Amino acid sequence: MHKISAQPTATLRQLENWLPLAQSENHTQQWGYESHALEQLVVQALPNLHHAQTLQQARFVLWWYHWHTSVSLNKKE
Amino acid sequence: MTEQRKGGLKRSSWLTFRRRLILVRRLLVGPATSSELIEAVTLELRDQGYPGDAISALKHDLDSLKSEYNCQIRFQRRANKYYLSDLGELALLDMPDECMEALAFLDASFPPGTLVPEHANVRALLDRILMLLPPYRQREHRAHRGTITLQMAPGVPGAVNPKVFGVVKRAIERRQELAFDYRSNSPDMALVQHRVAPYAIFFSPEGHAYLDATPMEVIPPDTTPLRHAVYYRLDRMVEGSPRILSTMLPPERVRPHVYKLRYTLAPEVARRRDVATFFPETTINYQDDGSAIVTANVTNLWQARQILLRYGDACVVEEPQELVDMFHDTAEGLAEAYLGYQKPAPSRR
Repeated sequence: MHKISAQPTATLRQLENWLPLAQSENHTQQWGYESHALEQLVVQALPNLHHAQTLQQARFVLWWYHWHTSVSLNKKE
Repeated sequence: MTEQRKGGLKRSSWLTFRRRLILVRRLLVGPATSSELIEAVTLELRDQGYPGDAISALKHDLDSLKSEYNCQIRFQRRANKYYLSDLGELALLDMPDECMEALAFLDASFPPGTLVPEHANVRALLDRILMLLPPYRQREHRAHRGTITLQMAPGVPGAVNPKVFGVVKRAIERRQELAFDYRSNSPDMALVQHRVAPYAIFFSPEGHAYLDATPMEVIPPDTTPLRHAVYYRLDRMVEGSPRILSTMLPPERVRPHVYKLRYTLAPEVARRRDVATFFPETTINYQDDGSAIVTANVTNLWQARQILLRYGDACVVEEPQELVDMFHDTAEGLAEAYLGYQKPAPSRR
């Protein structure tokens, strides 16, 4: 029987825990990310998301990364 | 004696008094070594606490507490720690009779050796409060039989392994994923591995301890609904199997899937218009024929089924379809058990 392992899928597991929050923000704030882009946003934000003590702090972290991503995209354009 | 010397003496006896109070407070937290006691004093009084030979001064303070206040303080050589077993004259907590009655109520409702008080540390709290009472109040308390008690089911003493409980509690505190082997009810699958996002431990009125968690992975897959709120019985987790994984969780559970619940209660339970509200955002519409249509929001269908089964056949669930299906299964099971009904193959899910 396949055993639940602790390591190899670490990022994937982080994603599945944080993605619902990111999806909800993406929906309510109308950021317009498609699934892959939203996953990238969460992966970038993960180190700071871990320090969030409240859901509101976690939202701020996502907003900050969203803002950062939008600014970078605008500069490239 | 000059005014200055009088002031100095006053200050010195005040410091001595404060030092001894600090020692008692520290010993009330739990047994302590000499260094821990000195540290507690130094933390509050800084260099004024024990300016000279701290060990001798500490021993003098402890002797004074024993002789002047009749405190029972023992030194246990093996652990190298001081234990406070009786506060003597320093038992300063006294309360009005109403509060003593409340204490008797809690004491009778949470007896030692039962599931909830042991794991929620209720006994430890009650024992500390009792210790703070003066001797005459303690005697009154022992003689007083609680006339009001909370009807808590005693559970099965020792059924929840303390190590299992400890690991699950730590995983919740650290906000990390938890993996464990779970004894399934199903006869063909003895053990199932679960990886979950754990959120809270709670005790049901029936006396069982549950983990409220969101399952993320189940091996081999079974009927457990992934990413929905699920309650796991702690006594069904295999001893030694729970382990904390490195995956960090969001600070709060992102709201699990919410089901719109609708059920009708027959006139025999709704006629008096005093139907209980079990679920969030419940609305009750009493009908002219005495029945009631109840709507609410639920996140845990298993729990909803357990609650609504109390009504027996006086309750019919109309929504959500998943819960209706669960009731079909239950009804089939009951018919099989009581009426010899044979389930059609393949079984309805």
